[in-house]
Amino acid sequence: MTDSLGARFHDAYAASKLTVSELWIRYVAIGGEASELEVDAYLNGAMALPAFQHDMLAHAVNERLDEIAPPKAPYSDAFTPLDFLEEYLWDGGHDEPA
Amino acid sequence: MQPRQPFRSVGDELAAVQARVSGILLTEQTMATALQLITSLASDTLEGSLGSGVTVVGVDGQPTTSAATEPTVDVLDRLQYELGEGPCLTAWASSTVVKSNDLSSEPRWPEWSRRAADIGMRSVLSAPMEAGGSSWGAVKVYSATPDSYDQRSEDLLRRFAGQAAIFVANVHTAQSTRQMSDGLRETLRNRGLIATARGMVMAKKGLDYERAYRQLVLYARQARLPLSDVAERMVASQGQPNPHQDQ
Repeated sequence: MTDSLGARFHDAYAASKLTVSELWIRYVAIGGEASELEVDAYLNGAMALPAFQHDMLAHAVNERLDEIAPPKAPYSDAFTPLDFLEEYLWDGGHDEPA
Repeated sequence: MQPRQPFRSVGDELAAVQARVSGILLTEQTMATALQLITSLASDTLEGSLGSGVTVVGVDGQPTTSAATEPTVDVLDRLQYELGEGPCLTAWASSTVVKSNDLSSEPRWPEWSRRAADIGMRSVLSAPMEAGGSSWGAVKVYSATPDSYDQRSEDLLRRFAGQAAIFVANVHTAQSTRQMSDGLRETLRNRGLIATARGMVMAKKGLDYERAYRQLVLYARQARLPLSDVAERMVASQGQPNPHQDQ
């Protein structure tokens, strides 16, 4: 990852106020595959992670930031929580929904 | 004394479960055998000893006796636990080796000492079991003659206690991992749901492993829901009557 991406990732991680262990558990829960030691080394810039593992780690940080963020005002055309199910059932390029 | 840490992180649990599955941790049976070996060695090595035993203090603070070489040891230990006073409890709580040269005139535990002297016990030596920054209990030897133990006895028993502590601490780790905490259960459940939803997206959309995951993340970001909630709803939608059947 580039310096600016790395810096933004670190800022976000710092804002999440998660310990390395807490972040690692959340990352494992959403499918992450790197060990706690590897994640620790990555956060300290001592080791690289594959882009996909980085993205999972970033998502774990973002979910935490969503949890602790104040509520956001919705837009009129905002996705409702269940829209993704419609999308999943219909926009798959198949004739019939599953 | 360092109180035992009651909270274990999921990371610790996963590591400990892994260690137990790999056979690195001891079973309770191995511990019982090891402690019996230690107490019989202590009893034989420390001359004049009538018997030896191990007091293990549980997470709830309740002491119990393991590996007593003689029934008398068990009786004297129980008396300590009932009265809430005695050399082993002091050794455990103060993390120091405790010695009494004559139980017939011992002011530190008046009631226990009087009753121990009544059944013929005159000296006692007890050393705390410490490992991993925690105090797990105490190892003790009892003797029917006064002034049975000296500085050398103290050094020996301290070393036996250190050995015993390693076994007890090891088994404690193995046992506590058997009780899977809610945190670990939740982690594994979410991971399973997300993997299932990922497979559903792969099949339905013809996406590869990584792309299917990215699609799920996209859904989660659009819906402003945690990934595990999105996965749970998708998994739950499977097998439900399809609202679009007639369109």
